[in-house]
Amino acid sequence: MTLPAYLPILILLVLSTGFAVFSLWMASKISPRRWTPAKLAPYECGITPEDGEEVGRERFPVKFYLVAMLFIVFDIETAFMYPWAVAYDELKLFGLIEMGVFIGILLAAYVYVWKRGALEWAE
Amino acid sequence: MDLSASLIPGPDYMGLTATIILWPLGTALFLLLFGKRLSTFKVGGREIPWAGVIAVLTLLRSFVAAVAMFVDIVGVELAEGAVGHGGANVENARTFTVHMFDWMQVGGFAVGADFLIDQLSVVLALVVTGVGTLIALYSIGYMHHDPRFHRYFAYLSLFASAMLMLIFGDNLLVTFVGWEGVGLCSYLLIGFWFERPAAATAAKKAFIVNRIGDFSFLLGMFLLVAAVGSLKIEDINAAASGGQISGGIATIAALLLFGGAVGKSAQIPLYVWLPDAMEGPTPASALIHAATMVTAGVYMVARMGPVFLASEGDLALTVVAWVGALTALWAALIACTEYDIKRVLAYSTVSQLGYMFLANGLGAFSGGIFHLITHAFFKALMFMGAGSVMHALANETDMRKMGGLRKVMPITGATFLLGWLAISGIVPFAGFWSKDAILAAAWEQGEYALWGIGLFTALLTAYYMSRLYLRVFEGPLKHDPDVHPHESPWTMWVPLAVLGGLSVVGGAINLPWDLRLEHFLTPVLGEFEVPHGATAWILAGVALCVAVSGIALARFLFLTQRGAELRARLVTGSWLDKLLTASRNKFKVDEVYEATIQRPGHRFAMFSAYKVDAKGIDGVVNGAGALVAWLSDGVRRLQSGYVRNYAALFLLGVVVLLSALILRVGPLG
Amino acid sequence: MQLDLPNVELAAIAPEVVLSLTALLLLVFDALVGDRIKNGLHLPVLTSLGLIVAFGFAFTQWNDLDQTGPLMQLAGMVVLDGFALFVKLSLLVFGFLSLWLSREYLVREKLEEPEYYALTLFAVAGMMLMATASDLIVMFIALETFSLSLYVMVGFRRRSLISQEAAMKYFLLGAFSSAFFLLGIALVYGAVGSTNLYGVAGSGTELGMAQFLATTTPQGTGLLVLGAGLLIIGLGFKVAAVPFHMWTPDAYQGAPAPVTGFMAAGSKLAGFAALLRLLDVSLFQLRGDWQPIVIGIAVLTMIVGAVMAVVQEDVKRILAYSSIAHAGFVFTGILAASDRGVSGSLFYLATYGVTVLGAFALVAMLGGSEERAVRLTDYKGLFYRRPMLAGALSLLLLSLAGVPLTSGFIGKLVVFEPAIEAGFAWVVIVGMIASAIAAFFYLRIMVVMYMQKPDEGVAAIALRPVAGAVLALSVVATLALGVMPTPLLDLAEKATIFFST
Repeated sequence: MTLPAYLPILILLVLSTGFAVFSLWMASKISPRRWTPAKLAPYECGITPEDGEEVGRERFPVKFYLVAMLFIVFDIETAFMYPWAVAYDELKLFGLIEMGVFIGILLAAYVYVWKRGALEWAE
Repeated sequence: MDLSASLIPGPDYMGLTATIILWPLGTALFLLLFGKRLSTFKVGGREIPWAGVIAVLTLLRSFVAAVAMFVDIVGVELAEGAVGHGGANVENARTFTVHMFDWMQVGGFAVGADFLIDQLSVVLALVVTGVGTLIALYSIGYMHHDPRFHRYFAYLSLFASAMLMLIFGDNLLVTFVGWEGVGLCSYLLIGFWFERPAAATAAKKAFIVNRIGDFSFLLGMFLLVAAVGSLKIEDINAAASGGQISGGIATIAALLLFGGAVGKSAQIPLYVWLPDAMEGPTPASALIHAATMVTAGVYMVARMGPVFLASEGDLALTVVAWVGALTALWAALIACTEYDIKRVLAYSTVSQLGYMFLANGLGAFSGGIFHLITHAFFKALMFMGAGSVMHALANETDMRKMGGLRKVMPITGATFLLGWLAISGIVPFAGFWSKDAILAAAWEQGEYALWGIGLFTALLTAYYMSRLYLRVFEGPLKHDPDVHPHESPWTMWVPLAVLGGLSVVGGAINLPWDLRLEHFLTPVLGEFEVPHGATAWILAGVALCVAVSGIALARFLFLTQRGAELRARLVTGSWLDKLLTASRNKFKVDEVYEATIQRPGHRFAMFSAYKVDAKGIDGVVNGAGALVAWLSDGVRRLQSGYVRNYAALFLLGVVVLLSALILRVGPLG
Repeated sequence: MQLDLPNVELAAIAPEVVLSLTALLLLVFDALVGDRIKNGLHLPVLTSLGLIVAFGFAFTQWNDLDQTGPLMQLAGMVVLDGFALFVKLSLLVFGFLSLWLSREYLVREKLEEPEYYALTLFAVAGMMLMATASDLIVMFIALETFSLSLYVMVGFRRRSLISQEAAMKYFLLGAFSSAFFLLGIALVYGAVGSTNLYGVAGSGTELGMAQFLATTTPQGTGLLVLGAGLLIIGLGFKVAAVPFHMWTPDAYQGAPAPVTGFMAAGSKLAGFAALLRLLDVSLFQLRGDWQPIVIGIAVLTMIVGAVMAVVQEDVKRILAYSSIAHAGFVFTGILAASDRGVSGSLFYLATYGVTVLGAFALVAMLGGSEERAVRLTDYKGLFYRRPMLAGALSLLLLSLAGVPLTSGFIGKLVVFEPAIEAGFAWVVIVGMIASAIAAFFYLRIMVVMYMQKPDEGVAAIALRPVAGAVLALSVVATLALGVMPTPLLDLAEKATIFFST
């Protein structure tokens, strides 16, 4: 056995785990806590913000994220097509069919996105 | 050996078994589903609900089938010309296995829904269906005011079916199905009047205590499967008596099985649930907690006898005998001071079950079964008698408020008298013969200590039973003036009369000079030695004297003026007073359990209850439950709701797992 | 440059393809013409159609198995053997039951949208792929396919913050666990030089785990063992094994009740299918190394699941912890590393799935609008309000508790027995202690239903015929498989026909 070679790693492991556990334990010991039923519930979703409430920072439409995500999806489609195009000669009919399947699936997604109104900016 | 039914033009065993077991099951399902819609009809100005009639008829049908089966088995034995005197080594020609269907088959491990019909199972089936029919009939009168009438009879039928499955089980798994089934019904019936908090608590207590026993039983079952490779009782017993199981394994397996019996049959230390179980309807107590279910443990030990006999140095049997004897004594002591009529009977049941285990522990299995049968007669009788009294006195159970009832309830009083004499061990009543057989077996084996305990318990039994009888039925009337005691309707007193008759003549099935039952059961249970000649007469005489002295003592204390004065003097300050108080407090066993198991867990749980949530603990009042709750609460702190904590714990798991693996595989590469 | 073009035997994954196409079709079809259809019945009908066609394909494959024997197809990416097909068929049944049990709920909560059905189909397809995958990469894709679907389904109650948060937690921790799974794949690749579980016939370079183990010395397996450990972690997360279970109660509680049932039934079966193939087949020879890990996980999972359920007050949380305990029981079957262990585990998972789907469907029905009535106190005296529903729930709970004459009892028997055979008796004893504890909390639910008076003015619960029929089916199956388990046990035995090289 060459276990001694791993001894430093083991010691480090124990030390780091120990430190983490110790800090958490200390924190739990010395921190003040005033439990309420709400704090103890396993959920922390908080209170629904109301319209008039001052949130403190400007809010912008969630649609930005939606568009960004859609962009990435279709961006990857293009990225995927480059290597396919480069190796087109070797892939022959097989490659064409595979790409057809791929584009077909994305097309379905596109129709879905479009028809569900995800591309409409205003209501 | 299965010589099969083809030798004789016997009845259709398959059909009979199906009738005996499945009819009550069908009735139970029918009553559960449609019972509410059943109406009532009138006989002699009394409303009689159909639900009860159906249940009684079903059980009667099962009983008739059991009788047919019994007659056939007896007939076969005669035809073979072997009337049992051959001893245990003769192949039991009259064992039939009824194969209903293949329950499951995995690889080489097959279990069928099989039922074993032999002398032992048939005799017990007679008792269960016979006493069951009588008790169901009684229940029609006793329960007729209850709004959940149909449900009661559904549970009762279900119980009968499960109990019969337990008895007829050809393999331990089928037996276990019945075992769990009777537990479930017992639980449902104890908690039948769940509006009373005491009933709900008692039901839960019974459930938890029985879980401990069942767990032990299951372990024993698994151990036997591992050792023998089969769940079939015959295979296991053959392997045990053939020496294929080592003594050590046999000891452990036997003790684990006995653990199950201790739970189900309410022996030390798991007897605490049975007195509380008296919260259930009285006829249910009579059937389940006196005559049948609680004797399942006795039956199981007798049935698995060879495993117990194979134990190293008879350790398992010794344990069984001593647990039985001590339980008999202990419960009898408590019964002497209890004032609740049903609880006296409950402790008496625990005590008598102890006798049966004592018999089993001495290897006198058929002696245990004999006492089981006679006990079923007189204890069911007395429970129903007590029910009749409660019925007459508006559910009063305190014996101090009873007295002189024989005058107003002549039939109940007379039949109770028979039960009292039977359990006290007066010649020629049933209890005398069966108790004498057990004590004689102890003497013959040189177990004088066990014999002494048994004899002393017999004295106590005669005393506390006389105390009960005399307080309730003799002396002046004491009940509240606004209660008008009356004799019960015929549905209630007919069963009493029948059981009263059986309590008188029941001993005739196994009189010491012809031992009919014992010889009948010998092919299944083997033989045991009893004393002969003068010794036998002297032992019987001693037992009788002890019983008479017990009764005389009670009569002196409770019916004479001087006795009453003496009692008054004794109960102030003396050592006896302390003993009586201790006994009255049931020797604080419940409290000890509470202090050692329940309270620490419960206190911890309550301490953190406001953190857990306001109602988190109230459902967990029982010891085992609270212990688990305590553990649970510890782990629960980890379930904080914060994803970061979850991920941290996840990571900790990863670190531990990978560290273990790295240490195991050593250097990589 | 010359590329080796694979032979695409699409028929091998025909059921998965059918489900995916149905899902796509569903989305496009509904997006185009959905507004014009009033009652929305086209969604479940179309979904059922897809499931039935997929079942037909899988069933044909199962029957053909007798002639063809186990096959490896799609360039070594999938295998078609008894095991894979048993799991696939069970999953399709789960999908079908779940679909019709959910519909009433979805209509009531005004959540019936094509996405739910499409996601169900994608999830089932992903789960099926888990069982049939013979390459870790395919397994990972399958894992992500069904996980992503489930993340969304958990958060499907969009108006409920709890549902949202549950989805978020599940997603975050799921991503976390996927990382370990991927690292495991990398280590396996480092050790073996391939990600294949078996090794591809005819290609000299691709060894695969099983072949690697057949040729290597015990000293050379270190990296593979570590990789396997990480794979166990990744899959252990999906089946809710302790200590990777923390998401389970929160996600189960927050998710719509039918989704919870589907998760409990489906992702357990899929995750365990992958574990069974990985450990009991590919890494069979390394069992000395992984068994201690599995013992630890099994013991912890059984005990923590059973113990934690005792103090819960929310029925969904009780069932969540119960599902953790059940995962522990299945681990004992895996531990046995024998054919009977495998068939026992499959039987367990199949019957547990049917039972738990029914149980959560009942929770959904009884929960009322927005699942307000899911606390234990809401079940007070249920028996007196709805005797049939209470009876059905009791039977399902008895089965979960493992009471004789229910499928749950047989299931425990067939996973415990092989484990004893393999010499792990003490693990089984722990399991029995856990199930004894577990009996307590199932009983608590029943006590509340039967032995407490109902509160005044509780709304009546309506039971629709279709959901009622499906529910009855799951109750009957639970009972029937307890009394007559042999047919399914025979099928599970056929499922131990594994592909092998």
